[in-house]
Amino acid sequence: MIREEDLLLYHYGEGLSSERRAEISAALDADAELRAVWHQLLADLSALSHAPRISIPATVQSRLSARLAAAATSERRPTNIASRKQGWGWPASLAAYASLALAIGIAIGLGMRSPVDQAEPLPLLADAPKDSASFERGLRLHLADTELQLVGFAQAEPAARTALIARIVQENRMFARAAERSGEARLARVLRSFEAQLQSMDEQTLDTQGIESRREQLDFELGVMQTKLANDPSKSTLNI
Amino acid sequence: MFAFLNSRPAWSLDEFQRVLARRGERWYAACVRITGDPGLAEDAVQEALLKAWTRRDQFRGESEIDTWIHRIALNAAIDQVRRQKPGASEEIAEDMLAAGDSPTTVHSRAAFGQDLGRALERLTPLERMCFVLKHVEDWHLDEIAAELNNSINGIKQALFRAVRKLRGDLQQWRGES
Repeated sequence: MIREEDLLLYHYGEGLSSERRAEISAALDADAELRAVWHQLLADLSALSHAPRISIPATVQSRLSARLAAAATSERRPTNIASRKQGWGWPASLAAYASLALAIGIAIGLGMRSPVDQAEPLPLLADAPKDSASFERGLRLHLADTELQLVGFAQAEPAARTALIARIVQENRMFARAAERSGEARLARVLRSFEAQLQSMDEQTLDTQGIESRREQLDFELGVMQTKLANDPSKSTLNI
Repeated sequence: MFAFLNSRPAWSLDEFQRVLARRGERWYAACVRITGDPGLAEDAVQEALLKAWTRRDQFRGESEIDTWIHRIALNAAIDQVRRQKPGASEEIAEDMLAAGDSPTTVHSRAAFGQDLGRALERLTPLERMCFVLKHVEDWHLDEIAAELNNSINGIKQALFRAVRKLRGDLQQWRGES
């Protein structure tokens, strides 16, 4: 007796002994009723193969692209800092090292992740702040990491710049949403104001000098915000 | 001996981004079918993509990257299913249907897609994974058994149940349409 399960394996071309395959083949030649069952099975399997195409949403595609760029940026970060030392002169180098020291200091001081680890998104922290202290720590690291990631930004390739901005904007939005959910409307507004600044750095018409000038402006404002957070860590972020 | 003849310059970020743009949809679709959940599928693709980036000097061509990421993404998707409770997602989201189709096509595809999506939802995770890996991804039974840590006979039985259930739903859908 030949069952539908046998026919299924026969169709897939495996899971049956050669003798059994030969039996089924002979039966299909000889038995019209079995052939009808076989054809119906093939028709059904074909229909099940014609499921609608699943498109990747643009937001998913851009998130994946941004994470790939972030991974690449993480690898290149030490090189960027080194090359900047040669080309930009001491004031910019000093600022970069100060930023790095700040980020490392915060990370060590709080026993938290390294700046390189911070290249990964912080969805859990940002999506659901369990307490204001952990939220503030996450926010401070986010701001310090943003500064670090933008080191050498003007010299990066356009695609990498776009991807990096997309990623930082996404993280920034998570923190803004988290701030809003915990009733910190003012902080949320301040964070959202960074978004426009970030996106303005990726305008295609800007030359290297223009990009660098906007980066320095953003750097300054990020620094101000970090200072405010550092000076008054015990108070609510409403004081920003 | 002449391995250097096959070598190519290291993949740049731009080149990798182009591979993602061209092939990402296929990886993502496969993972959505395995997990039934767009969020888990995205995580699986991301995991595979970042692993591939760290090994980018080992790939000679785009098809090699494509095959590697596809396989790793499927494995990651299977792991995601193992970690999740069964029946995570509602259905295939509307914005995942192919863009550029006429409203009528979109409507009929959406109807069939929803129906098939629900039918896949009713399968157990094992049945769904066996069906997708065998029928859509064309894996061998022994590969599926190894990946799912099951016997070949167990895989066959799950596949039979999946096809039986899906055919039942298909008949019902045909009768109603």
